Amino acid sequence: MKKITPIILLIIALFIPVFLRERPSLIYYINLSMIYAISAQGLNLLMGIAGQISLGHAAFMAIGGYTSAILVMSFHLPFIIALIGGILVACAFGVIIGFPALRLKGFYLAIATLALGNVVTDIIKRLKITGGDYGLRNIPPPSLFGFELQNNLSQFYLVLGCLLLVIFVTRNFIKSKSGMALQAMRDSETGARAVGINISNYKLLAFIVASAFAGLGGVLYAHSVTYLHPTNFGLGFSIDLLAITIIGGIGTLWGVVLGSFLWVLVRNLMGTGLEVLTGVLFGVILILVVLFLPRGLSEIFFRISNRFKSKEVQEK
Amino acid sequence: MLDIKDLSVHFGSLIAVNTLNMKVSENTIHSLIGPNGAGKTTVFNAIYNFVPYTGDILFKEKSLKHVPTHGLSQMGISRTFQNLSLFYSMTVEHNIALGLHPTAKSNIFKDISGVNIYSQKGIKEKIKSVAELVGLTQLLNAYPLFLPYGTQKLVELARALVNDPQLLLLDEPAAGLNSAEKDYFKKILLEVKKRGITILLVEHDMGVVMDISDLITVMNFGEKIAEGTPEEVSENPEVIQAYLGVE
Repeated sequence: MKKITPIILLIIALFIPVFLRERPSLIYYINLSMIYAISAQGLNLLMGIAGQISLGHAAFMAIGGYTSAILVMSFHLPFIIALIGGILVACAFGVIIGFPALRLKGFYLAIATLALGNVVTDIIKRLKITGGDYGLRNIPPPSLFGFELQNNLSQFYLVLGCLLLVIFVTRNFIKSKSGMALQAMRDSETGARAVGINISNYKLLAFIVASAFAGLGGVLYAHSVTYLHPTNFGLGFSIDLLAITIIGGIGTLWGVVLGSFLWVLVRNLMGTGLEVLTGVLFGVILILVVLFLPRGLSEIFFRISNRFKSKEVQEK
Repeated sequence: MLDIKDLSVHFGSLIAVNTLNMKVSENTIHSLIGPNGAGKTTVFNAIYNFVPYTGDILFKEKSLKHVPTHGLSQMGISRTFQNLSLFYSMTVEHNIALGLHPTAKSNIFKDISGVNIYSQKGIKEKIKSVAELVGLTQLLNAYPLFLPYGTQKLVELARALVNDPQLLLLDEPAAGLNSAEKDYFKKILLEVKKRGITILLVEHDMGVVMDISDLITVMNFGEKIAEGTPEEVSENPEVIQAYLGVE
């Protein structure tokens, strides 16, 4: 069952646009959910696996998005090059924020990352090439192998492919030597150092990978939403990504996907009239999750799957 | 093997270790004893560069002063902690496996393509062999949090042993163990010594220390007050007064 579930989910995912052909706005929100999930997966890796904290994760999305948009609009580079450029520049900023993280922990690290978020948005606001306070408009849609992915439907498969790639890489990474070292570092920094783990290198690695995912999310966001403004990537958005990770299930692979869909779809589909209500709803969900589901909403699925497993064992 | 020269550690105005000199010879069990606050654990922490110090610590004639903590394992030094530093989200097997971190070779491509370096045959065999030595074979899939304290100490010992260290630093391994567990621990340590591993032991339990040590260094208020065989130390009047107690 465990092996078949992802295949079934993938088939359903592939057919989603077919079922929702008449509702392109819904596909747009699904795309947005997946983009948030890609970015939040980086935060999940950073916080859930490596035990670090970041309150400026949206800044890496901004860096990825702006870099890609500028490379395409000002330098007329192909989308695929812009995509790689966006990820690489976000990674470079990951290294920059990773360095103070080597000496900081907990609240202090949270404040440092928060400051980075503010600095990045502030710089973007002041630069001419980023469009300043006016933002960047009419960002061209992504194009691959000469095909322009103009509508939400065609972008769906690109974003889905990226999300699956991110989940695949994360899954493998967690099981790898580096992933195990990050988990060891999270559990006991002293123990990790004693067994020969170079804490500084691995903290940096965690920030680089997290920034790469956020950068990718930012690139897809820029070319999918086609509009960038620095205020979109402020503290509020970083907190959104944090809430998505916690609600879905910090340290779990699929939790952030669940959290993103819940966050984006419920919020947007309830309409503007009920905006206040969604804020209250998510506040309540967040409190309930923190109190009763330490592994987020995905814990509900774990519990159900464990119940099935124990039933199977009993029947045997 | 280990040569501590004029080691001093100061915490502000407090002198935790004062010009300590001691040598640990190869293939011996050398114990470091003393009352609480004598500076024993601080010596371990200095070796591991967890605290700044003056003087020098040489391992096989190489100074450890500028060796980062993570580099010691590769040099052949391992340790356990007074307060356990296990990786509680991982199984016993993975806890032990991480002791092989410095020698298990991987790269970014292996990392993202899903190669679990610790499930390779050679590594699995090493884990199995060390688990057998400390009696954890049946518990490899268990999580340390759910194991008794004594067994958790064995997990930490196995993790320290798996990388074939030349020098093993044990910080109060018998603390919190019952008498049966202590006897078992002593047996394991003697077996470890038989395999050519040198042990530097910080321990309060005099039964354990006297039974297995080749040489004992006694500290009080950060200074060495005596050194010798268990018999010599147990008869030293200064040691009796400072640590063992006067009848």
